[in-house]
Amino acid sequence: MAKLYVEDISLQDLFERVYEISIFSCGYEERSANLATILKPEKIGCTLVFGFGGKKSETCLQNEALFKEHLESDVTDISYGETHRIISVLRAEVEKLIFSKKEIVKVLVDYSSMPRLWYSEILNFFKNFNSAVEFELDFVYSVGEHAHSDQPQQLGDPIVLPGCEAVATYSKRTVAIFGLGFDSGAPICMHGKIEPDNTYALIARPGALEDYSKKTFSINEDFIAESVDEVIYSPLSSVKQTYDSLREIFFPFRTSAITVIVPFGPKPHALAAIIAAMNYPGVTCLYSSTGSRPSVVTATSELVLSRIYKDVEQVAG
Amino acid sequence: MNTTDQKVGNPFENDNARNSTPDDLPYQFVWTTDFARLISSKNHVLIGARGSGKTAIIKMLSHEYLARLNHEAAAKLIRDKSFVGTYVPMRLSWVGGLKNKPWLTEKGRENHFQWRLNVACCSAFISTLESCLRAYITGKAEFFITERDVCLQLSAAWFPTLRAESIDKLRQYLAEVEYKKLLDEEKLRVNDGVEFSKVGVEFDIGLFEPLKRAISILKSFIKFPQSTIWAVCLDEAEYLSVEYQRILNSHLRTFADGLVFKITTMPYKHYTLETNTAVPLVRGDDFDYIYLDSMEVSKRTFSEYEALRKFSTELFERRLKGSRWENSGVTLDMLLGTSFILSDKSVSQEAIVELIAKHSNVATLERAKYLLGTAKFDDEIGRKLKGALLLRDAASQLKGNSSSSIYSGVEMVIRCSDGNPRRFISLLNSMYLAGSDESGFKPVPLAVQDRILRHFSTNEFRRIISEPNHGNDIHQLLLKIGKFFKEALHFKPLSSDLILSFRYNVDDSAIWDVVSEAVGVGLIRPLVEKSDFDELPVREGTFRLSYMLSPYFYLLPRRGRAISLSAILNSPPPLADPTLQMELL
Repeated sequence: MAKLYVEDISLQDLFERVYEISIFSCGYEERSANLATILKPEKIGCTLVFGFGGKKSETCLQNEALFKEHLESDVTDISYGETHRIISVLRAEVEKLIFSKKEIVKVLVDYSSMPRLWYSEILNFFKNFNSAVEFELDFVYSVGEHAHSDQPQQLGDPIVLPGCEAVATYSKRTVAIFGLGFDSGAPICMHGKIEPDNTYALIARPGALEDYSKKTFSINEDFIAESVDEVIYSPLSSVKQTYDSLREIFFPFRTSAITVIVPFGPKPHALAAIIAAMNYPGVTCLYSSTGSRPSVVTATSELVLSRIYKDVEQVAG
Repeated sequence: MNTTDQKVGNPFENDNARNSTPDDLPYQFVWTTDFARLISSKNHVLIGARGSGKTAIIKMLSHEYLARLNHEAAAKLIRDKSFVGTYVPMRLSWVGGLKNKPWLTEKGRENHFQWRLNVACCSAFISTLESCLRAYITGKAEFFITERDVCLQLSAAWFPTLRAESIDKLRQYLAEVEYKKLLDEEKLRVNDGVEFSKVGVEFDIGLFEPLKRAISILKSFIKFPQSTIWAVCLDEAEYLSVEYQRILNSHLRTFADGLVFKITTMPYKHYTLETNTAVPLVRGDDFDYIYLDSMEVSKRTFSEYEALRKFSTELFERRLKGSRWENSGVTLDMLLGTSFILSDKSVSQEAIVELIAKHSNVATLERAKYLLGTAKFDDEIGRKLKGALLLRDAASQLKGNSSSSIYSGVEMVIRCSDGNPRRFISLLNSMYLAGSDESGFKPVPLAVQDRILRHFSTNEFRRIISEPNHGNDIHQLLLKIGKFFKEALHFKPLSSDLILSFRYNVDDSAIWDVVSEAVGVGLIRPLVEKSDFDELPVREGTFRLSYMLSPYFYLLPRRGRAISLSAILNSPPPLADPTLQMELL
C-alpha cells in the first residue's frame, strides 16, 4: 500500500527545482495566476491549466490571458461533475514522460484557486498510478486576503473527496474534525448530518492575516460552544504540522471509530486532511462546497510550500 | 455512558440517539405504540423529520439494544428469540462516497453499492452475533468455544483465505478487505480506466446474501424458532439516491427469504416505489409507512397538547431516572413554571373583552359583548382568542431592550419543541445549564426561558440557509409565511379565526419541492388527517410552521385557521423594504 509523506519546503527549494509537469488552475480569483507570473517559464516543464467550465467572469478571462502570455498554455475546462476527467488528462501527460525514462518526475501543483475536489483527484492520481518512476509533488498555495462575510451560504451535496473513502466497518463511533473558515453555518449544518460522538475543530493560527484566527473563532463561536470538544490550532503555513496535528487527534480512535474530516478552513489545512484520509483506512474527508462566491481574493505574496512523495509500505491499521 | 457516569453528568447533555450507547439509550427510551408496530414481520418505512426519534427507535429494534431494555415485552422478545434486529447505519461518511463516482456505469454503481452495503450489513451483524451469544450461551467456556466456532465459519464464508477465531478478528479482517477493495477500485480507475475490482468477491454475490449466510451459520449454533423475525434496520435512507432506493425496494418486494426491512427516512425522502422488476411496491401489501411526526398518542383520545405533554413528561422523567436527580422530586412544572399565554389559568371575561376592544375587529367585539357572561363566551371567544390576545398585548408593550417572558413556562416549552425529542432535550439541556447548581435544579427564571427559546428559534431559522440544495429557498419561503402570520397576529385587527397555517394550492413543482424539503427538516409540519396518520399529503393539504419558529416570528404555537399558500406568496412585500431606504449621509 502506498503511503504519502509530506514535508514543508522553502522558497529556495521551489526556485531551484526544474519541474517536468506543472499544474495550475485558472479561476475567478486574482491569485490564481500569481505563481505562474513568479516562476521562470523554463523551469515549469509541461503545463496543464485547468479552468472552470461555464460562464467566465472578467477576472477569469484576464487570468486566461496571463496564462497564455506567460506559459503559452491553453486552459482545459473541467465542467461541474466532471472532475474525473483530470485523471485521463494526467495519465496521457505522465505516460509521455515515462517513455523519456526519467527516474524521478517532479510535479508542481498550484492549488491556490483549485476546488478541493481537483487537488484531491490530482493527489489520488499520483498516489495510485503504477509506475517504476517516482513522483515528487510540490504543492504551492498563494495565501490570499478574503473579502469575507459570516452570512451562512447554501451548501452543495456533501461528497467524499476522491481517494479519501474510509471503511464502514468501524461503524460504532464517529469522530469529526471540522476545519473552520468564515462560514458560520457550514460546520453546524454538516455536524447535524454527520452526528459525531466526538467533535474537534481546527483553526489556522497564525492565519493568512494577523486577525484571521480570532475572526474564525468568533464567527464560529456558537458552533464551538455547542458542539466542539476541543479546538486545535495549526499554522496555515505548514501542511506538515497540520497533518501531524490531525494525526494526534484521530490516532487514539483509529481502530475504534471512523474519523470524518470536513475541511472548511484554508486549503493547506484541507490538503493535510486529504493526505490523512488517503493514508488511514478509518479516516475520510467529506466536503460540501459552499459554492463559488465571486469575491475578491488577493494574493498576500506569502506562499505555503509542501513536498509530497509516496513510499510503498504496509499502513498500520 | 454507564450508570455511574449518568449519576454525575447532566441528564440532558446527549440530545442525539446516534451518540447513545447500548448502556444509556435503553434507559432513556420511551416505548410507544409506533415502536410496538415495528415489531412484526412486515416491512416498514419509518418516516420522521430531523430529530423526531427515528434513530432511537430503529436502534432499539436491534438485538444489541433490545436485550438491555427494561420492559416486559422486550424481555419476552429476547427470551423467546422471536425478533432479532440488526442496526445498519447508512452514514453520510460512506454513503457520501457513492456520490463521488460519476465515471461508473449504472452497473458499476449498482455493484459498488451492493458490495458496500453487504459489508456494512455484515459488520453490523457482528454486533448482533455478539449480543446473541451473550443472551443465549451460558457458561464462559461454552461462550468462547461457540464464539470461536461461529467466527471460523463466518470467516470461511466471508474471506476464505483468513481464519478469524474471535469477534475482534472478524471485525478486523472485514475492515481490511473493505480497505483493499477501496484502494483496488481507485488503482483500476487511475491506471486502466476500468471498474469492477475483484477484491472481496464473496460480497459481490446478491445484496444481503452474505448477511443471510451469516444468519444461517448463527442458526446452526443457536436454535431459533422457525417464526423468528430477522430484521435489517437500515437507518438514514434519505442519503441514498433514487437508483439505490430502487434496489432496496426490490428486496422489500421479494421479502428476501426471511429478512424483513425496517428503513428510516425523512418525509418525502422515500423517493420511489419502483423496483428493479416490472412491478412497483404496493403500500399495504409489500410495506407500510409509519409517520413519526404525527404524535401517535394523539391518534386516540388526547388533544394535540395533551399528547405532547404526556410524551415530553415521560422523556423528562426517563432522563432523570438513574441520574442523581432521580429521587429529587423535580418536575417539569417546578423547573419551568406556567405560561401566562398558554396556561388554562382563567382570565376574566371582562379582561378578555378589554383586550378584544384593543386588538380585535368590530364584529368580534360586538360578538364578545353579546356573549359576555354566558358559557358560550368561553367556547366561542375565550378559548380561541385568549392566547393570541395576551401574546399580542404583551408584545405590543415591549420597550427597547426590556426582557420578555412571553415564551416561557412549561406549556410554551413543550409546544415549541413540537414533539421533536431532540429539540426538547436540547432545550432542557440549556434550561438545566441555566437553572442548576451543585445543590440541585432551580426554577429557571421566565426571562431566561424566553431568551433560550428565542435563541433556539432564531438559530433554527437562520441556519437553514446552509442546508444543501434548498437551504436558501426554504429560508425565503419560511420568511414569507412567518412574516405574513406575524402581520395577521400583530398588526391587523384580530378575529376569532387566527391565521396560523396554510393550504397548499399552488401548481408549481419548484414550490412543492421547497415545502417538502422544509417538512423533511422539520420546519413545516403537515396537518395529517386523523383517519390516516401515516399518510403524508402530496401537493395538497394543510401545513403549519413548526412551533419552534414561533418565538422568532412572535407567533402563537397553535394551528389556527388555514389560508391558501397562493394568498401568502402573492401578498405584497412590506412597505419598509430595506433596499429602498436612502443613505442617510
